[in-house]
Amino acid sequence: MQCQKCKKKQATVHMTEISGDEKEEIHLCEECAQEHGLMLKGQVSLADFLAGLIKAPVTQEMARLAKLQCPSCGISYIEFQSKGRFGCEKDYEVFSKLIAPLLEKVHGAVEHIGKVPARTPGGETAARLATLRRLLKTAVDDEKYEEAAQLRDEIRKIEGGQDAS
Amino acid sequence: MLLDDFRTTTGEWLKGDGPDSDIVVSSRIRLARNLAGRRFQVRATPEELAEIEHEVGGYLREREGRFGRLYYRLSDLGEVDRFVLVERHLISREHAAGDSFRAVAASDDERLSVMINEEDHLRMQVLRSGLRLADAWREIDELDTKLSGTFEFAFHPKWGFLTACPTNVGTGIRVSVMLHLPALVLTREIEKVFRAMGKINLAVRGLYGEGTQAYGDLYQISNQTSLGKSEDKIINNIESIVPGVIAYERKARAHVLESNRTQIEDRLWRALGMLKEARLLTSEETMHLLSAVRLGMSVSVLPVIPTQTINELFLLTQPAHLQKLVGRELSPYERDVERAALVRKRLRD
Repeated sequence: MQCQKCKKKQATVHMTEISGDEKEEIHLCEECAQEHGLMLKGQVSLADFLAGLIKAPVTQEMARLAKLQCPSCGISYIEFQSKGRFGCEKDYEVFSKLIAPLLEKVHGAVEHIGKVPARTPGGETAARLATLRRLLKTAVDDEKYEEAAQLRDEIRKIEGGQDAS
Repeated sequence: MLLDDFRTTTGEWLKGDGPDSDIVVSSRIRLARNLAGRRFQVRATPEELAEIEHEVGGYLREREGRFGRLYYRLSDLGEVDRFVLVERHLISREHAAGDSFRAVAASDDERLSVMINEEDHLRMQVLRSGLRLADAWREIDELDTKLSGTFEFAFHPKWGFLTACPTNVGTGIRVSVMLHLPALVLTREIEKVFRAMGKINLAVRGLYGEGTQAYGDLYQISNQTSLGKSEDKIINNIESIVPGVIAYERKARAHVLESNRTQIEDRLWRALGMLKEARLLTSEETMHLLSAVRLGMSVSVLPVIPTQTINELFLLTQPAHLQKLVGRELSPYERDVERAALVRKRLRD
């Protein structure tokens, strides 16, 4: 689709403006949209604004978490950061709030899909969860969203049950 | 010095057989596992590490017949012997440099091996000649399943297998394929391969892994992420891109021959001549010349020498193997003399 304003470039910004009963669709290229004040500038300042709001509490929370020590192996998050190695399996739970974003960054994912050991700590539940996640991934890949939603609910239910126990 | 067996044998992965073995030297899969309820290597006490070595090593030697013969505690080995194991790809440099209660078990053909008390309690690997990832996975999967029925592994329902370094968490898998890419290096197209692999989250490294330059035009392509995709997906991903790299290398080979035939032929024949006649050869020069000869055979410029002979020379001319063969420690200069003598002899036979 062509940009409505410059009529040259590909339109990549699409919006619908509603005033009263009037509905107007607008299609612009990135440059014209910026000129129009629709893109980026406004978003960036909003993001900055939000960042300013949450920065302080986040840093405080981080500082508190960074001082946490694993009761099992004694490692602190700062020590982990300097060595890049955990001291024991419990660290994954103790520092879970800090690890989730780290895993997201490293792997682009936060949930295991794949093999489950023959002797599973946490028994059948863990095995069931891993299977459900694999099915969910396949369903999403195949664009079977209804099935995916059902699987997602089932996973949440099991995970919820685990937290409660 | 121990490990005298290794003087006359080389691992099965150097055979030079298997699909596309003129370009794909080997296929490797490793799995990282830790025992549940035990602290990881960096935090474990010597007693805990000794216990792990005793339990896992004992099981492998006694219950898994194939690991009965090749089992080594690194504390029993001198520096040369440790590096013999590194050069054979049975242990990592980190494992060789580490301290107490580290061990390695390998099957007789060296296809399967398990490092004990490396960064993770267990690092098992399968190493095959040529492009054979599916077979390799079947083998390592079977060993892992067996071990996971005997030992309880550290596993989290959400994060999978828990590892000392979070870059290995999830499946704990690293799949790598070692490729000989001399024509892509010659045409400087290799940079494009690097960039393309980076875009799809695969890593490209030189022969001896992280932090080393690629000697002998040998490159390793491997997955960088281990969480969020199944083992099959990760393996398929690499398996699906390797044929493209192979085709690219073949195209580059045809191109260099077409455009500069005489110059290339001269270069390849010179390489063979040097290897057959030189009196002093450094390790780096040897790799470089062997790479040219390997290329020369595959494009039918040079007479056929079995790929196994060339692959084995890549290994046997490494510093530790050379000292092993001669039977004593050698200065760098003595190594260059012995290396040239060994290469001459092997190529004449």
